[in-house]
Amino acid sequence: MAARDPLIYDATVNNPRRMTDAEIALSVSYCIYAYAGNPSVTLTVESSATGGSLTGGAITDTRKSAGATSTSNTAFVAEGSTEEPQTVTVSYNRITQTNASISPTADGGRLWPVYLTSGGNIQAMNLTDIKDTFLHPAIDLLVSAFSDKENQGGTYTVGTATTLSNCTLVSSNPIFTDTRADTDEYSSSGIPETADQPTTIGNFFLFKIDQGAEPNLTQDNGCPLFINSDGNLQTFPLADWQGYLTEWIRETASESANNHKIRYVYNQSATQRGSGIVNTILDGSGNYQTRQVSDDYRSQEFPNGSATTAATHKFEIQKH
Amino acid sequence: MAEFSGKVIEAYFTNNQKDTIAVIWRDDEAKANSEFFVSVEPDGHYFKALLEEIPLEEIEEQTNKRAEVYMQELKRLVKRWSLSEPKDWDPAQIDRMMHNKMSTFIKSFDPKEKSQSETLFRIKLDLFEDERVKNSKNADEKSKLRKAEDPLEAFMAFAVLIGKLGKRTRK
Repeated sequence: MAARDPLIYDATVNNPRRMTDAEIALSVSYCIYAYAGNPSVTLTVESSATGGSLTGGAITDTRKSAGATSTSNTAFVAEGSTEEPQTVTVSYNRITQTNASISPTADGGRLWPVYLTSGGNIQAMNLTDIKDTFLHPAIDLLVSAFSDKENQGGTYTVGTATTLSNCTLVSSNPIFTDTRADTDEYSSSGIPETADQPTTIGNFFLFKIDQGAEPNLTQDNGCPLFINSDGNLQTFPLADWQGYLTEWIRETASESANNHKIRYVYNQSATQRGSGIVNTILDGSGNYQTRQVSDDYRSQEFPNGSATTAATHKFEIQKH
Repeated sequence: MAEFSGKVIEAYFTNNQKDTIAVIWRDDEAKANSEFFVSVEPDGHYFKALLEEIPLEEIEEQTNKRAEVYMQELKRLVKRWSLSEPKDWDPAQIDRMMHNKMSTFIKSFDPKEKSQSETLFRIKLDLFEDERVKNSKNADEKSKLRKAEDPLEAFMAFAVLIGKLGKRTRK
């Protein structure tokens, strides 16, 4: 780690001094704010169920369908020999992640703020120092569990309805649909029943967390000193400092070579975002029903039982 | 802190393994109640956030209450259904209905009518179960009974097989 305390001009004493933790935190907050305004890692929802590409996908929805109809021209096939309800599996991987290609301002040796070395010299920070002081702490907050839009704006989460506080729906197309067999649709008079007769239990939608309030970063309270082209110390113009932070947080999130790229995954023991994505199913062993049509004896087992959660998938965010 | 923090209405386990909890919470901004599913993981962010809102014992209690309400509802439906049966099953009406059906079946048998063809099939099976038919050596009449395409043909073959056809008719 090479986190530095950059120097800032303190007008009250007319001298440079080290930035306080609060002043550094203000620039970190600005990184998050800037990222939220124009994220470099974006997600889209594909219309095709498996058109996406998130690691850990596809996630699956399972439901019961009726077993095949058994027929005989002498007597009903016994329950034990009639096929049990089967499991239908639907795979979902609808999310596609896109990492923007960024070309941030390169460091010519004096781009970044200055700090006081242990030897008492004033020296310009290098990119590694900037990452450790501002960019990586910002990424760490962005990929943490959702607390508020001030810290996770521009990243994504999952909800069970089409609206969610502090978030914007990415697509009305759900990323996952939980289904179960619709037992009302199966009847003995309909044997042979269509095996798969599902009903939708719930949908899960992708949301982007909104941009939070702009941090109160001003020319006087958070812009550090840098070495200008004349070799003198100068306070960063606010727009320049904000511009560098904006470029580089976007670059770091999208293309970091230091394991600080933002990535979204399923079920990788990373940081869960939003509601668990549940796959519920009926837990019965089959409802045996018969129907006789002339000398055609038919039997079939329909899905039955109570709804239970078979699996809970997790949409997650991580740095890598 | 989680999305549902400070806004939980109800929480209950969603399966017997008790590895998932459904949280019903009020999303004030969306002005709607919403569901949030939490995995039961001691170190999980959402699980810990939920336990700050509602103790595990209460989640257990709400799960049991929910199951109880479900059972009561189920019992109420079964009771309502059973009480409604006598109203639907008027014996006199059923007699009249059966009489009409039998009459139509014999006088105006329609093989395209599914219920009539099923009835004919069941009657033929019953007739074949009769000991006198079983013991009969008259293969031709058994074949006629098997192939009968309407009730009268079946009854005629049956009458022959059990020796009940009058002499005049036989001639």
